[in-house]
Amino acid sequence: MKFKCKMNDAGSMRDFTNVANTVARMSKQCVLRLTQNSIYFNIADDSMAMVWTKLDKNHFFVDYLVAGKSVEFNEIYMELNTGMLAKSVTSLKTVARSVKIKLTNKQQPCLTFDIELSSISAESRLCIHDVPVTIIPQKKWSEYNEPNIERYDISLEMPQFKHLRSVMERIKSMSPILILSADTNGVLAFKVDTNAATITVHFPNLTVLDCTSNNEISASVDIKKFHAFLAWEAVHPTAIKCNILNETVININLNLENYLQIKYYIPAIES
Amino acid sequence: MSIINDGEYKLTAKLGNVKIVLQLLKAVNFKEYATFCVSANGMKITVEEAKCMQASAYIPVQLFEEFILTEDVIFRICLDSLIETLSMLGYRLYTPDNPILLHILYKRVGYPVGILIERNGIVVDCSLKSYDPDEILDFDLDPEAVVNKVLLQSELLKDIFAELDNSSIYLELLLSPKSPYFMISTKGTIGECHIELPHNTELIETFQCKKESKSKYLLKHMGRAMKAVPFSNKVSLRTNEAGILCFQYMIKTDNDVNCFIEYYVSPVINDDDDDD
Repeated sequence: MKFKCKMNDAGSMRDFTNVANTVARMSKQCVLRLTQNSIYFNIADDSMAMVWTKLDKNHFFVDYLVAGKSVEFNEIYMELNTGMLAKSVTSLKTVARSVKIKLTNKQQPCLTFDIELSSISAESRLCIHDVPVTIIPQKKWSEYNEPNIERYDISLEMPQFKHLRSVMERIKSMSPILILSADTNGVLAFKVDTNAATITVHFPNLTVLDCTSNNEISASVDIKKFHAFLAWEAVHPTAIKCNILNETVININLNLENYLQIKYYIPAIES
Repeated sequence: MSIINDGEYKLTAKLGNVKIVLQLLKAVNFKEYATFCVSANGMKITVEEAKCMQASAYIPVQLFEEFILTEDVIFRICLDSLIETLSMLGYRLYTPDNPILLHILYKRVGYPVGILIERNGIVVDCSLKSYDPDEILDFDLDPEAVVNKVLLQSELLKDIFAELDNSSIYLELLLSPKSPYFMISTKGTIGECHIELPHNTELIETFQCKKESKSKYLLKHMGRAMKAVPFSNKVSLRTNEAGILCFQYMIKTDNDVNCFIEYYVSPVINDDDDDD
């Protein structure tokens, strides 16, 4: 089993740090999946998978090498503490020149970050962080698979973050449940019910990308989980898409120039 | 967005300046629920606590762009929810060319109060359950009953408001025709504090004191009653024989409409714990 790669582009290191920080804000633990083409950060929540973040190896890394247990299972899955990961990569955002990431075995398996820091003198300084990891055996890989949803009832673009944020900040404390609904006219509605009031926010004129029925599609979700997705604003996605499967699941897709993809799943709850 | 009034609604109103409405509502929001009285003069929002403190905000009819009322209505709704709703579209970014439109609709007793706000096409539709109003206490401060009256620019109270000793439970207000004329005192863990205010500066427009009055109020109540200081222009203080204090703030809007906020505060009569 072998993994090594190198990052030396400032933009990539900044994006990587943003991803690590956002992942750390959402969960204490995450699963890092390394494949031949991409690396993934998966966050599971109460055994229900929630977030898939996919980083394209060609954009982010040079000298990328992953060798799994065998040619047939040429991938590596490992679990790690997101807080340690986020702290280890803080310097990448500003002062680092390059970073080598590799899988090492120092008393226990570790993900080692060799960070080359810039300095005023000619000599560069090297800073090494070891993040302990737990390798996940191949027979358990299937637990971390992405939900297989072939078709959603409706897919449409999401409103801008700034509008979502001002609305979500107000309604998140009002009710534990958010009812999201969308129709073919491109109106996305957020609804909360409280003892004193019923509040519905309509975001009109959104592009509908795909839909299977002419009915209004809706799903009730945990408002805290939905609010948590706003943390991804940090990576400055260029496109956000919202997919809804009636009363089953909401999937939010964030994309940054195709090299960074985030899929966020929020299961529907009984309302 | 336009609302067709087919006579079914007792009240339909439209407003373009959400910012001032929010300021007024927030200044009286010391309780979750408020009573709205709507008449041909405009809207009066009253919040009351334990019959000893009352605050009312007045939104005059001139502030509305559209105001259709078939008969006077009165209802009680959740003020917290209303404020949250009005804040949703980011009122701080309010500019005349990118206004937030607010519609208020009310059918009749038993129906919810409809609030619609719109900005850049985003529409927030809020339906607030209406409740039977509580009886509103009439503090009744007749002009004849007024003992002392001070009319001043709010500016004068701004610093005092910020520096009141919060460890004090009470605040004492002294108004007198002779020295020290106008004094605010607190007594807290750090000691006693007396603030003497001038009675004859430019900032004081009227100072009418018939006789010396000295009353104690809960600092908590006074803190609430001074919430409108930062954004108001003028304030009048009036007291009656019993020591009931009335603050009346005048707030000038950008288009020269005067809005008012009134607070009535009852004095603390039980002097048992006074260790003078």
